[in-house]
Amino acid sequence: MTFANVNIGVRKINEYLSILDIQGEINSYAESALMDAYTQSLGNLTRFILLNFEGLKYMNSSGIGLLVTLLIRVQRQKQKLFAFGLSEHYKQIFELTRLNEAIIIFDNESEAVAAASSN
Amino acid sequence: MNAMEHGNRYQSDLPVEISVCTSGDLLSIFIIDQSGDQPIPVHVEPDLEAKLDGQQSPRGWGLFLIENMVDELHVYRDKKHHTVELIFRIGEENQ
Repeated sequence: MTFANVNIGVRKINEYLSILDIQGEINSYAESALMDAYTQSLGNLTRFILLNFEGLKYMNSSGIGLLVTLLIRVQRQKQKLFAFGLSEHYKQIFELTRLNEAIIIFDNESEAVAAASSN
Repeated sequence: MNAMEHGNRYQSDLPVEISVCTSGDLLSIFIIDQSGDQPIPVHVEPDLEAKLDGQQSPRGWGLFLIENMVDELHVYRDKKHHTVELIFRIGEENQ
């Protein structure tokens, strides 16, 4: 039985901006996939990491912890973390944890990309 | 999932039992794992800024999230089991 039921694709939109397309489940077993995807997304000038949650099937409290770990790494690199595609349930989770104050949430990819591009 | 992960540590031979009971306008869900031999962790209110500053572990969100999504939360432990009871008030005024 495998516990890492997630695939995370990396799209480098431009030299400043990359998108991580999350498909599946974010739990503690997603750590390698998420951190490897983040590493792949990096370039010398990367400033924005966008998390695409449109394909998210499930995320538990360990997954929230993983996002905090990712956020710490992103902030250390003086980058910004954006998110889009969150369901109402997970938007509520972001509000409860106050992650929505540290990760800017957009309704869709075009809005997130536009916001990043204007910064 | 949390009972499987944190309680039984994904040992496939250990069951998670789930019971659902109603009484009046209360709905109780009991989630029972096999981690009674492990102490219930001391509850620390998670604080995102403290986590980002490294003063708290990035983890530790589970019970906090549950508490905020149910009407009551109780945690019990005996020698074998760790039980989380979630209580929802399902009366008309809450629908």
